[in-house]
Amino acid sequence: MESIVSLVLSVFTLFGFYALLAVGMGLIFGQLGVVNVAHGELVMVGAFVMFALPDVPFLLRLILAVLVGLVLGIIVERLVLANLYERGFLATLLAMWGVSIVLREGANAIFGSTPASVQAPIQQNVEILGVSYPLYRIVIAVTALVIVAAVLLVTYRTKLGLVVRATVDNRAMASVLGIPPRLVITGTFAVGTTLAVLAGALQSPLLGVTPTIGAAFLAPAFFAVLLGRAGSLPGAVFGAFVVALLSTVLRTYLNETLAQVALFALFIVLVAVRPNGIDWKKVQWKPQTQPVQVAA
Amino acid sequence: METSNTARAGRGMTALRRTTGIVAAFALTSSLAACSGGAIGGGDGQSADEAFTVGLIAPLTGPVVQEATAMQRGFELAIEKINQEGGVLGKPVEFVMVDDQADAAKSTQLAQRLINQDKVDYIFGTVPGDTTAAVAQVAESAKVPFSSAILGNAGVCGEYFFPFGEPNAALLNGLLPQMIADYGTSVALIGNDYAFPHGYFDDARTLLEEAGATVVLEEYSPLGTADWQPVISKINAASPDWVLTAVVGADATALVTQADQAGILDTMGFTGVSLIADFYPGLTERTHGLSLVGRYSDQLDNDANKKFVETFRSTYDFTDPIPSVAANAYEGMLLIAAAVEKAGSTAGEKIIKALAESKIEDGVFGSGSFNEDRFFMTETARFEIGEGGAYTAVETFADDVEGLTPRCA
Repeated sequence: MESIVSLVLSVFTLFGFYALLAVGMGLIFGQLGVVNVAHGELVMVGAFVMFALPDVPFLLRLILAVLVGLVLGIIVERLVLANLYERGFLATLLAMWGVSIVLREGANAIFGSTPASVQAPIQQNVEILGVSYPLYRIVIAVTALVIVAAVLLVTYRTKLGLVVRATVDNRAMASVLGIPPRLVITGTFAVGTTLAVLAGALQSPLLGVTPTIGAAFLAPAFFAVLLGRAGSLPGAVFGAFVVALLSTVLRTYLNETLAQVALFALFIVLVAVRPNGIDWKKVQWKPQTQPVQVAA
Repeated sequence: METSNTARAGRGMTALRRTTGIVAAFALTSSLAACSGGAIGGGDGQSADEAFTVGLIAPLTGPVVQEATAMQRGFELAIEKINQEGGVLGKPVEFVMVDDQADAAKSTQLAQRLINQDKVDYIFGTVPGDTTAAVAQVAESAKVPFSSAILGNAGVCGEYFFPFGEPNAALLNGLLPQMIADYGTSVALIGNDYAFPHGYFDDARTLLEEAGATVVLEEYSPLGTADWQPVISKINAASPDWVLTAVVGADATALVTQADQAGILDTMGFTGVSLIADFYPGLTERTHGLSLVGRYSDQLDNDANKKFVETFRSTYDFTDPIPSVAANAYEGMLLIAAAVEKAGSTAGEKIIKALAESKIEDGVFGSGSFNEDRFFMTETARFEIGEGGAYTAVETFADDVEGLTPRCA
């Protein structure tokens, strides 16, 4: 029983982190069509914001991390991406690759390569069905999922979200209707960036913070987005759950190396079988035939 | 990407290198592409008229930047000291530095280039086991002496290969009996998945079984693992008396942090390579009171070490505990210079003969020399971690590698 409880808690806490990452990446990928290969480095930026200001209260540092994420997002979108959308996805991908190198080497120049750590604001453990579990992990998972829920709510249940979706769907039409597309696109990218920075800030007390730490988070975030339906934020969240579940279960019951191999093999198979994301319909192995339209 | 230096040029170069790191990432790629392999020929080796030149392979980009930086700094301080004292064979020692990014393919290419193009008389450095093996192979073929400085068994033997790192046995022999006595006979082995932890745990398992202990869990996680919760769950399920670790770098910080949050540091013994001074800045006070066995600490009380520590800290504005790889590189390079002086030549075959017979006296970690199995043998100590990252020796052990592999003799 204790091992099941421990497993469920591990899945839940990892899901919270991955969901925040996946929603940020999903916003940028699904809404703007940009493959943000710098997403891991944005996580690293968040962790270093928390490390750099040890005397500032933890909550204030989180707010600072949000501000840093917004500013960074605006700068990158305006200075790097703004003129590249028309050149296609490869141009924006390469540009974001360059951004990732700049962020990583910038952190190396400022902080060096020695692993750093951030003190967790909550040190206590909590007893859940006989399992003692770090309270901080649960708090950040809940926080992350609340933020994810808020992003989904804003995107799908508010006028602002409608404006964003309308702009993504048809920029020309949005312009005619008085929506400033540039502002919406910059804002969307900045929010996606901020979510990644915030994920890193929240996770920082669990990490060895180095300039290269972001590399560990890129693959899970990508697979989470790919496993969800293309362009769907709830799909990315569902993908994050699948990634967290498979990762934790495999790592719990197999040795670590085998688990990693099995995990990524499974992801590849899932993406190959469901290129448009996982849904609850059966896989169609035969092409569906369309009824012939006969003119009256 | 190459830097040709005398000792003075090495000083203060690190900051500049860091600030140009962004450009370097691109420049390295293009310079490596321009590298030519060529036939292995080696330096002419009889260059009594030319300066003794060392090729330093320092993976200053890639996954082992921290260890590489420490090694480079120890190496540069040694070169500076050697040249201040008149150099080798009457000339200042020169060095050429290259970055293999801890990639074995690049290590091979760069070792060939150092030998063929730069005509170095000696190769020093690199960090991971696979790159060490790659360079050792090239150096052996070209009959150019090669030394590494990182801890752990090198895993390769060669007539021209002289590793200065601590052998696994030096890290384990004093430690394991103490941990068994203090905590019990049930042990979990947790490491990263690469050559060193596997070799370290193979030796540990041999010693543990000889001592009547049982390994109840052995786990290897890929380098770059950030979430250790599944491993911590496995440790809790296995319920060992103590944990022996070989998790390194940022992974060590993450593991120790998460183990501490899960209460493992309070409920069972915890020791191993993850606690070495290199990682203390990330480990911080949560490791205070824990102990490990090793060769070097900046707290060692001898004149050579006091001077080394003072110079290291002032030169590099460094306040954290000084990693052992820096001390190994420093003492190693001093011994190499002494061996060349003793040989009276920069010819590889003469250097290796002199080096095999040379000995460090009153060095930063006392005395040391190579045994017939090509382990660099020194006294070791059990260091207790205290306030501010003070690794204080509380017990010393004679040099000893009985019963462990590989045996190069």
